[in-house]
Amino acid sequence: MSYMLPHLQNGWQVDQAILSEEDRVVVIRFGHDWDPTCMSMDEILFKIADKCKNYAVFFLVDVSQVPDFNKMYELYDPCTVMFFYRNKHIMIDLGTGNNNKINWSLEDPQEMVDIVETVYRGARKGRGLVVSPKDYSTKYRY
Amino acid sequence: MRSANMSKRKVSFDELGIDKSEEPIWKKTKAGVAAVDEENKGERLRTFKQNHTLDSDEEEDDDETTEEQYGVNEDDVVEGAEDQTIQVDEGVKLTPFNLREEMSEGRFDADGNYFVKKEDQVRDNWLDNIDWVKVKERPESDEGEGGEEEVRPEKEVLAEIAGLMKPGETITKALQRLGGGKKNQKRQHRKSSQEKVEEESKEEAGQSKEDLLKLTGLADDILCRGNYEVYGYTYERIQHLLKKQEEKVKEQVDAAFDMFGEEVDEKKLENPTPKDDSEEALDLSDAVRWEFKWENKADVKTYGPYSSEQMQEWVSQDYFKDGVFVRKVGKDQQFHTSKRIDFDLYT
Repeated sequence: MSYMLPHLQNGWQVDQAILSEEDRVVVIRFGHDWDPTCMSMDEILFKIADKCKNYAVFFLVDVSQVPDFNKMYELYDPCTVMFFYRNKHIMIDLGTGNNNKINWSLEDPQEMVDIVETVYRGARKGRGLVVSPKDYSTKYRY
Repeated sequence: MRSANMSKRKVSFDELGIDKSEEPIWKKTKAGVAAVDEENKGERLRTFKQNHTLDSDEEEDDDETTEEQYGVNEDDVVEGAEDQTIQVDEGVKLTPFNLREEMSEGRFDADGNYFVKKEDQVRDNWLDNIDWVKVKERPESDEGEGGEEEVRPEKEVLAEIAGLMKPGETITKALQRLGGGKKNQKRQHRKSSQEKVEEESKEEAGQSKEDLLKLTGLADDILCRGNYEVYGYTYERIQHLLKKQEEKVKEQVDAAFDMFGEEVDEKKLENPTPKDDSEEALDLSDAVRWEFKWENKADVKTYGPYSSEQMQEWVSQDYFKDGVFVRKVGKDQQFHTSKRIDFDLYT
């Protein structure tokens, strides 16, 4: 499904994508199109992209093609999803201990919708950290 | 007050029976003590008959007329006031219990506060020479200028603010940069210890201080228009607002040419507050409503729907202490524990 979502080809594009969006949450999936985790995540993102188009935009970044952010955002997992709003990284408490990103693939599109919506609502109210409705700590241990 | 103290002492003497010859005076003074006690109980209001009060300042100058107007006369104002009695008692000077002296030097207001007349002591030639007719003319012209300033379009102000900011900054951060950044610069230059550079930094500091004042003024201007979140605005947001206003102006122009076009709401054009901004974006769900149940089981009764405000109120009242299971009203919504949901975000 990765081909259905816009890819960002270089660091400048990533920066611009984050900077230029003023009213919506920018959701970026860092990873590889061929990675199985990314594939399932991309499918979910694609499914919800249209549903969330009023408050979120989705982009894919190949971390091999665009390694600029790997160090800064610690992109060492096969699949990482991060949220930005008005050039600000929005953290989300998923119960996993890592509030910076989702680094696994969700199974239910609705969960992702809920998360994106929570991020959007929180970010608009000026929060830098929001709490996801669902606690993922029991499922994914670190 | 001096007379009150004196007479108290006097009373103690009299009780010992030392001085019987002055019994009439003792009676009189005792009456005075009673009056003073009453006064201390906070009954000044009654004794001073609520006279001349608020408009006091202007009428200070013609005291005689005010006395007549309000019927102030120390004799009938204070209960138990007495005329001159004895001047000296056993080598102790006594003042009669009345306000004659005080009233001649000042006046009381309804709350019992005493004001000394100052006109006789404080005279100011400069103040006397002011032509008040001329003075009153000027403020009006000042107001005229102020009015023009207020009319200044928000767009212009925003554009100027944006000019002073750097991308990615909020106004607060820009202010910090302009104000606080100075110190760091100085420190660095001190390390290099080059005087020329330091001078340069001083010039820079002067410039940034100017900018700082300007930015503060502009932001305050926006704030005065009822936009209280302006300091949190980022550079991007301001640019966005500018763009939006330009678009709206364009629309307005188009509408003016189009006879059948809908009229553009002028109020919205003038101040696009962040509020209507967010309302536009918030079409994902107008008002979220919630259902909840006490246990996460299929056969447990579901309550609701309730509004987010109601849920937030319950949470803040600790009604859901151990957490309940809530879900948004709508299709394929799952139950989540209320502990992880901030209902405040949905209000």
